[in-house]
Amino acid sequence: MLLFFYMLYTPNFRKIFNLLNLKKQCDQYRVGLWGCPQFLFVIMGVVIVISIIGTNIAVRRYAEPEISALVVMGVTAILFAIGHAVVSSFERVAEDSLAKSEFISIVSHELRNPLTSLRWQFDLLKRDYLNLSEKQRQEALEIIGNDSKRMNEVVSDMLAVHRVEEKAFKLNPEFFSLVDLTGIVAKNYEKQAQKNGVKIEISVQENLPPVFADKKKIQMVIEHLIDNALKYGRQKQTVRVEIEKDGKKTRWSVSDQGVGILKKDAEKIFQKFFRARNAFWHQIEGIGLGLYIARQIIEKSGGEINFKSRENKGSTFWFTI
Amino acid sequence: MNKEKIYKILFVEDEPGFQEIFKNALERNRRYRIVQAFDGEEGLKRAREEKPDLILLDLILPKKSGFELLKDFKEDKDLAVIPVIVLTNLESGEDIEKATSLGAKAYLIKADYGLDEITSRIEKIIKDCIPDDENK
Repeated sequence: MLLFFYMLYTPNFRKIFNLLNLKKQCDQYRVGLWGCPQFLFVIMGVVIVISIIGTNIAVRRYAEPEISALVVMGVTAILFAIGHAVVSSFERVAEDSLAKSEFISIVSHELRNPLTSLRWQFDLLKRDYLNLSEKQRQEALEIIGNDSKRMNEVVSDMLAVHRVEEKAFKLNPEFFSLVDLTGIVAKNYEKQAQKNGVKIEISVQENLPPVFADKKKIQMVIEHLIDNALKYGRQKQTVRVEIEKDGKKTRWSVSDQGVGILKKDAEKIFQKFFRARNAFWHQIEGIGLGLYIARQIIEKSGGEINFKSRENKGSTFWFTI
Repeated sequence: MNKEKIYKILFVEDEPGFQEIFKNALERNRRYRIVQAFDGEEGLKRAREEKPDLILLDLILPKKSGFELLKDFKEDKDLAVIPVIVLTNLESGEDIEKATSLGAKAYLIKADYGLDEITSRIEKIIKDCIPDDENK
């Protein structure tokens, strides 16, 4: 008896116990039970044991070889299916970790660029303060301001992801006008749009009722979508926002005439950490979290979000609320 | 030594802030003249027109990436002889290896240096890379 309790407390035994605690292991990977390799392995083991016993019984009860052959075939098919699920769940875990490491390299790049610029402008001011003209000083200060704003945006996005994933994530819905909110956001982006010669056009269906949702969160979604349309769109184009009724809901959409989305990227576009590789190389700022955040917010608000796109013709992103 | 020789340096970089600060910092040395290009395509065009003595190259650029440019330089007989210094904030071993294999003479990570350090680093590399007229 004493020996038994002693064994319970030995580290080895605890290690084995931890190995058997599948839920904990699967939680570590942040995947559901049916997408978790360890759990699927156990299921496979159980199926094998059952099928051995089952085959045994079947062979004893039925003399016909056809039936036992059929049983063996059925069991093989089941095992094959589970084996396939195990492999694909491993793939998913591996893909996730790859995406994560790519994400870290993108984030550090997006933070280091403004950080370097800030440091050099600061060095310049410190070294040459008296020799610089008033205009040069102003410019340096403006660049420092922009750099810190850019870094802040990266960090805010990361925090926003953390928040939407929290179990305690709460929406505070209220009635508000989606049209007014869109107008405010569009105004905030006017300067950025003008810089690229882009016009933001808003067309609204008449007599739209107010929507019931978390205004601040929806504002975030609209900001991300308009920001994307401006970033990925071409210069001197029109970004068109449309707001209309869609059954009981309201449908909001934004269209650009930009590079569009490659077919192979289409299914990943709302995933966390995903950034089209070509977007990165063409120096489009961002860290691949905006659409993920937008989808979480819209889905948790009971709406739908999606897009349609044609390569080199442009994209339309829409959501309903 | 021919004191009059002016070295032309092409700087391919899309961020205006970096462009300005480098132009000011390097042109304090009267022997350097900076030619600016703000995207990959402009970089290639400028390289062909100006035949610079040295190219400073960022990797993430609009229209054409720095890697693509390195390839273009390598394939062009006239441009292949110009030393290229990569100046970026990408720091994965993979990127460094790729750039070096495409012919970059040096690979500098911006965030590792202060303004004075980076300019003196570049000046030193220029001295090492470009043969002095004295020897001619």
